[in-house]
Amino acid sequence: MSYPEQPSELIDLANISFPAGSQLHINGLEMLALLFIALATLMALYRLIFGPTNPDRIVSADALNVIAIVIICIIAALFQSILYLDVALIYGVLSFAGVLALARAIESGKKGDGS
Amino acid sequence: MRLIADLFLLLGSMFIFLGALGLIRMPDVYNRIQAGTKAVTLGALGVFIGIGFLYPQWWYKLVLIMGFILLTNPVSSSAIARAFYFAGVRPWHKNKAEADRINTDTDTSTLHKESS
Repeated sequence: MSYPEQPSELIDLANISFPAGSQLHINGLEMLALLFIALATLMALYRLIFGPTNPDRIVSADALNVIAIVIICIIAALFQSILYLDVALIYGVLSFAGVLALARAIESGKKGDGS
Repeated sequence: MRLIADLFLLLGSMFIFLGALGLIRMPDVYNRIQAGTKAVTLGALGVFIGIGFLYPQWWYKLVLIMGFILLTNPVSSSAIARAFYFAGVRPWHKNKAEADRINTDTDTSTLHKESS
């Protein structure tokens, strides 16, 4: 039994194909915006990896949460699917809860534990 | 419509880029909290407004996410800064002697136990 030709569920990174009938092509300004967000992600990752102290890493992780929400919303715009906005909202709720739990854990720690 | 959306996207991504630049260039944990929270929050709002101009039928969920970020991001950064202050992370000062005087006058790690 031969399977009919269907578009794959996985994202082919070599040639990302937008849904059929879409007129969305990335122009120069949007490409520039994506470049800026990529550079911001790289700089926050630099602070996350090579941060001199642990509080720097926590701060950059907090900034990376917001950048991740923005990237998920841009993916929703590129794929023209509103479902990704729900993913972004749930990710925001969970990251907020995680950051608050981390702050409580630091605050109730021992003296000089944060540095 | 597309041009307005692109300008908002570019503005938001510029603010996110500058916030991440401040995350690298700032000298202290508290300064990095400021740069990494305020500028990135404003940039995220700009990007969401741009996506709202691209897809006007998504406005209710975009407004929900914008309001959520606008409410929770200052709360989380404030909680982080408060936790660092009570855990004994010292603020930075440009003058080294001034910083030593301030940091020896106040022992911040005992404030939390007195107040609670």
